[in-house]
Amino acid sequence: MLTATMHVVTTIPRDEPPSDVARAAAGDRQAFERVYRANMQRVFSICVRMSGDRARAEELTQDVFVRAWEKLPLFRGESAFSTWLHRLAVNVVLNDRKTQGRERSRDARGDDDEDAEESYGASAPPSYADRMDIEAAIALLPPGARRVFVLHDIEGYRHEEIAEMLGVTAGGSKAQLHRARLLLREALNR
Amino acid sequence: MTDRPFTCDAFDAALSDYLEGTLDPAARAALESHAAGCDRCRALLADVSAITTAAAALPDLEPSHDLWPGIVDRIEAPVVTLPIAGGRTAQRSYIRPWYLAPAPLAAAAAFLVAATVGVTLLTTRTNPTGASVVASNSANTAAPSGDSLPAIPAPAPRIKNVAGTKPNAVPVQQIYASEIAELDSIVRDRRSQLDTGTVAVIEKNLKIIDAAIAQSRAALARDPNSGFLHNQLNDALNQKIALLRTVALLPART
Repeated sequence: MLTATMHVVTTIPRDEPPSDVARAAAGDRQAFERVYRANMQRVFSICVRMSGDRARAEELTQDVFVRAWEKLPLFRGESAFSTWLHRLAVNVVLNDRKTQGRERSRDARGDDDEDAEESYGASAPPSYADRMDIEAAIALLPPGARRVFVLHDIEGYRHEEIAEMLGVTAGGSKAQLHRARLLLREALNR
Repeated sequence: MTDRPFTCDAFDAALSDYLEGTLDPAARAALESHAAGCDRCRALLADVSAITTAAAALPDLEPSHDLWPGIVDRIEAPVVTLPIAGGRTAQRSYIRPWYLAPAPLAAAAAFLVAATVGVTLLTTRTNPTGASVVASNSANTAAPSGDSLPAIPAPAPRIKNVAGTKPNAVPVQQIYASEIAELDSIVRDRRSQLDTGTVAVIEKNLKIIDAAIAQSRAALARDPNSGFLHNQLNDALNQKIALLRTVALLPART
């Protein structure tokens, strides 16, 4: 269970024994499978929440681990392996967005609220009969706000880190986060 | 900030910093004081705090099916084509997978070296009188004419299937060094039989390759885990072996 914010991510004992990472880096596929099993849910979770698309998230999760297999020899152990892998997952999701050209215009505007209508506009009420749960509400956030919310409030990244990842300012990240929280509140109180 | 009335607008503006814990104590106290007396802001604070707490406690999610088979299919995709004419190694996969790992790489190197030695041995032992020879894995490679060549040690057992080979205990670099030393010896003996212009070109190319090898080794000493650098080094070593083998097969000057 994910019970921590970013500030604790690096200390959560999610890492498999170091020997598995080292063995995987040396080409041991069985060790790599153990690494995968130990980290798969976490990677999948961030892919789902960042992309807002479970089917795509499964493909992205596979991409993340293929990339991890390629890049493991470059892992120097300067950070926890889970932190390294997590950042790799974020990058894969963000690169996928760029590659596919999704939401390009929204991202170019960065902090603008142009995408608010997509999920929370008056014409697009959430299609949930009962009170929406937070997971569903997150999925319906506008992409820009969703990414910042996931990275900050779920994954625990700092605004400076988010700004670097997303190519926005730290102030822009804060603004998107505030907006995301208010939109979630609105959705959850319906 | 605390000298002025704390409005709802001020509350909204300061809420994120409050939740981040970055407000100074005075501003924090002012915000809390305002919330205590304002239903709207108190409810907002409670809701947003609950959202952030709930978000941080969200459980990990599970994919609809096991994703590992799809991953392993991709990382196990065939990526090594066995050495072909000219000693060139084959195309590389789009992924950097298992073949850069020490054991498979040793197997691949062993294969390359075995094949190289085999070609050289075949040439040198079956053609002591200089008759034309076509190397077994090299199309239309001209054999030396009119000169016998020194015998070289028998090749190591040939590894037929790189992908299916068990990890080789012999370090990759040792395999390369051994083969290069043997070919070097042959080429040294052959130099007097070759055209001086050809020798000059060979020397120049060998220097370039040796410089590349030295640079790769120096870089690897600083970054021993770099797959890219290992690959660069082995590419350079393969080139050297290919060049030496070609020289060993060159016809003597007429």
